[in-house]
Amino acid sequence: MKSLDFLETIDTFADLDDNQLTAIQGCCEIAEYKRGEEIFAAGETPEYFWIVREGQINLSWDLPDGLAMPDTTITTLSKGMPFGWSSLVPPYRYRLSAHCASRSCKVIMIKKGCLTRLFEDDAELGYKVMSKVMIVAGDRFHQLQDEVARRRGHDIINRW
Amino acid sequence: MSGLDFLKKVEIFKGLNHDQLKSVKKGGREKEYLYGDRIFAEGEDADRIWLVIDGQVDLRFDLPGRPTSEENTIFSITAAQTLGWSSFVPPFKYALSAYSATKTCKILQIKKNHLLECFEKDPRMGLIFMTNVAAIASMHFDQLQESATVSPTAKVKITVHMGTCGIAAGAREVMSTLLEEISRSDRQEIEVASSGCIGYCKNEPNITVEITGGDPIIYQKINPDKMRQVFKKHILGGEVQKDYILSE
Repeated sequence: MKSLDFLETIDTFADLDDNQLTAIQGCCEIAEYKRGEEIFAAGETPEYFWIVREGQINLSWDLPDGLAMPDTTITTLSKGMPFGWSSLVPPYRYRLSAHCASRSCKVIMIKKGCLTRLFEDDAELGYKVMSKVMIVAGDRFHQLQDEVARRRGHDIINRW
Repeated sequence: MSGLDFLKKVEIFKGLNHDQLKSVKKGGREKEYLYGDRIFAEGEDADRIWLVIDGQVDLRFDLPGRPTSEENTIFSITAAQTLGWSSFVPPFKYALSAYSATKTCKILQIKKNHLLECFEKDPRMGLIFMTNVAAIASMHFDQLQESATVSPTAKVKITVHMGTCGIAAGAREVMSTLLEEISRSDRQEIEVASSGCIGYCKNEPNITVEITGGDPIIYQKINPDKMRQVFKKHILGGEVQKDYILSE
C-alpha cells in the first residue's frame, strides 16, 4: 500500500536510500475519496504533503465571487504524482483546492510535522526532498502561468 | 557592496551562517544595467540566480508577437530580493522576462552550479536554501494569482459624482483618497472622472466603477476608508463590495 517499492518510484523520494525511505514510510497514512469530494481547499493551513496512489486528482483555482470562470482546473494528477507542496513552504497555506476527479481516489498523506522533523534530523534527506518539492512548486507555477496566458489571450481576442 | 553584510540581508540566504555565506560569496559576480535593459528573457536557459543590490527589476509576462509593456509587469524586485528561481526547476528556463526598471540597476549573479557544489558539501545549507527558494516561488505564485484576477487589458473607469450634495457629503475627500490609491498602485492607466449628481443625494458621496466586460457598479455613502476598500478589493482584486452598492 505505502510500501518502499512504491515510495521509491515517487520522484520526490528518488534519491533516498532504504533507511531514509523507511523513515518517510513512518510518516505516511492512506486515505480514500470518492468522485467530487474535496481533499483540501485553497487557503487552508496544511497538515499533509500528498501523493496520488490511485485515481485522479484535480487541482483548481478558487476565484473571488463575481469573476465568471467556466473551468478553474489547473492540472489533473495521476498515480505517483505529489501535491500540497505549500505544506512544506512558508507561509504554509494551500494555494489551490484538490478534489477527487475519478470514481475513487486513494492518496498517501505524509504528515508535515513528521516530515520536517526528519529534515531536522537528517539534513541530507531534507535537502534532497526539498530540491524535489521545489520542482513541484515550479511546475505548479508554470501550469498557473499557462492558464493565465490562455485567459489573457482570450481577453485580447474578446476585446478586439 | 556585495559583501557578507549584503548577503545577510538577502531573503534567499536567510538562515545561513557566516561560513555558509562566505562560500556563497565566492561564486558571485556584479553587473550593472541601465533603464529598460533586458536582463534575461522568458524561455532562455536559467543557469544562475540574480540578486538585486541596488535599483529595481520588473519581471514581465511578454505576450507573443507584442513588444514588452510595463502593463504586463507581474512583480517588481528591489534590493536584497532574488530573480531566477527557475534555474532550480525543470526545464531550467526563465519563466518571465526581467527588465531594469530604474536609471541604473546593480545585480549580483551567482551560478547555480557553484551553489550546488556548496550544497553537496553542506546539505543543511542546501535544505535552508531550497526552502527559501520555494517560499519565493510561493510568493510569486500568490502574486500571479492576484494579478490574474484582473485582466491587464481590462479598462477601468472610476467616476466620483461631485455635485453640490456630493461635495457637501465628502466627495472631495473621496476623490483625493482615490488618486492617492492609484498613485500607490502602479495602475496609472485607470481613468478617473468627475460628474454631477446622479439623483441620489441622500446616499452621496456616490462613485461609479466601470470595468470592461462588466456592468457599471454604483457605490453609495463612500468615505475615504470605504474608497480604499473598494479600490483594493474591487479594482485590484475583482471582488465587488456588495455591502456598499447603491440601494435606491
